[in-house]
Amino acid sequence: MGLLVVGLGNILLKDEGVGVHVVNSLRDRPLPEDVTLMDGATMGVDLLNDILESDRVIIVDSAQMDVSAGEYRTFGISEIEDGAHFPNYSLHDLTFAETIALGGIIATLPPIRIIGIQPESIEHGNELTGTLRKNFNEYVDHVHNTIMSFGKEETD
Amino acid sequence: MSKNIDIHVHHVTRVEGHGDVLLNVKDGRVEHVALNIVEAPRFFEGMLRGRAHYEVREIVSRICGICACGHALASVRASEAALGIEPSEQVVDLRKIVLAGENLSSHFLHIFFLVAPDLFGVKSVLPLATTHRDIVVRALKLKKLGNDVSDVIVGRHVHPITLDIKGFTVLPSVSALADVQKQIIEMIPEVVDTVDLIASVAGGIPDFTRETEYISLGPVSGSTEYPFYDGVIKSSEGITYYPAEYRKVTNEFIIPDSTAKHCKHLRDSYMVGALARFNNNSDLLHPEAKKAAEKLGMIAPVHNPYMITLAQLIETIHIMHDTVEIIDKIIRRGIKDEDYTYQPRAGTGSGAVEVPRGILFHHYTYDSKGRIEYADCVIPTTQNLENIDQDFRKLAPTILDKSEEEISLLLQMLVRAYDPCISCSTHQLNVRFK
Repeated sequence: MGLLVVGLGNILLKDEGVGVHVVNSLRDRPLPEDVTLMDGATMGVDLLNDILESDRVIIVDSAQMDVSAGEYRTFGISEIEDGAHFPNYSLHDLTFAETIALGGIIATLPPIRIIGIQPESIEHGNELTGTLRKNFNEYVDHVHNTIMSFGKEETD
Repeated sequence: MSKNIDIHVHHVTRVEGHGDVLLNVKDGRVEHVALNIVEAPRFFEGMLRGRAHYEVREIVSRICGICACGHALASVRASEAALGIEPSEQVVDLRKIVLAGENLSSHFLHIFFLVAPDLFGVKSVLPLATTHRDIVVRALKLKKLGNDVSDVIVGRHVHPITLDIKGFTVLPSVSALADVQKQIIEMIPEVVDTVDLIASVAGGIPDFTRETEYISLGPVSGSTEYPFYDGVIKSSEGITYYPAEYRKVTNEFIIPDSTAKHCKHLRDSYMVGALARFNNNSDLLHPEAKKAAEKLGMIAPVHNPYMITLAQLIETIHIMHDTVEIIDKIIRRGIKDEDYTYQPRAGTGSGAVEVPRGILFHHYTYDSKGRIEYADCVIPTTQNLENIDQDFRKLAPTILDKSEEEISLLLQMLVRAYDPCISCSTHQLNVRFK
């Protein structure tokens, strides 16, 4: 129940792990009581139970969106399902997209916001690239603002 | 027959590995059929050299995202054998529960998400969710149960945190164990229903037989336990070995075109995993698991590798009942604080445990400061590869009259039956016919 915030990604592949880093940084900030932060790592179908048990979900993930490295976008799952960029929107192969698709078939998904961050490099390495490091606080602020406003306005 | 066939099935890249299925037929004769493992070597054994005893189990759990607890357990068992440490009964019981959770989670994933689509004639779990929603909902609940069982003891089901040499860094509470026991008891009827369901579609399992050697843990002398955690190495050819003698069984060798080694013992190849365990130890299964075996028509020895999935299902019933009993025992005894400190020393030791895909060996040599001098890990999929190839060689010539699509499906279903560690990708195969 409540708002689930999941950081997805592999922290051993530079910018691929940005979602996990952002969500971990939120642990230092005061958040409403119903917010749960989760390091989703590279989990796939194991995420589904947690997603279905939540009222609202925010996913933070690196995403191949064909925009400049370091830029971020917020979108809903309807954009994934209908968008021409599917299935290349996520760097986790089809795992996350399939999980969401599966969830939509077997149950009613809660409102989900996805915050995608365009990576510069997903090579081996446990640090973000300079571009993402430079913008990092902006990502954390954006996710924080989304947490505070999500559910207070009309959602998809 | 002058049929020419050229099948090359590429496995889509995912974390658990890369493997290709190849079949070349010229003028109606099979020229080449194989499962090629094309994954790059990962050099874990090399990475361990020079590492301290307390780091080892944490590094090796990263070998696999599915069998992370199994690797950690084989590791602490090998370290304990090398360092002369005997874990307490409480520790052994808790470890058995950790292993149970992992085996349940992995078996359910394989049965429902990877094999059931084949049995119900759909391409993946997504269309299955549309036609058989209840099965997929049940699958998710059961998989979560397996994860929760491991979580409660070691902090999380992937890459366990608290599992350590000699003991645990944190012990679970009795109430947490009682909660998880209640969940298991509640879910048993769902698995019994699944047995009926799978029995109703088991007629669709391909009919193929090839006798082979079956290797698994066998009960230690006097034990009546279906062994996952403790035991000797047992061959269906009537030989047993101590875990320290694992190399007499594995006899690893190298073949062209594959980055993985192959293994053989007394025959051309041998099988490990749920069906090998079932064939070697079915008399030790829980009575309820024996009932399930009867419903599924499984009488040991079963020589059809496509039936591995049924053996896994039988094992899930055994594991659930067995875990309920182990938790009962722990609750009666209470959780005791124990001294888990130890002194490193020089030594050599081996550990063998039954993970979802079969018997897993770890073997270490430590120097006097407790640093790894030498490490060797032999995983189940490596041991099964030669057996899969031998199955292919017997199966392929008998199915050449079928369409390329059917041949490809039968070969892929065979690979999937073994639940190899490339299983995460097995329903996302791209098939390319030349």
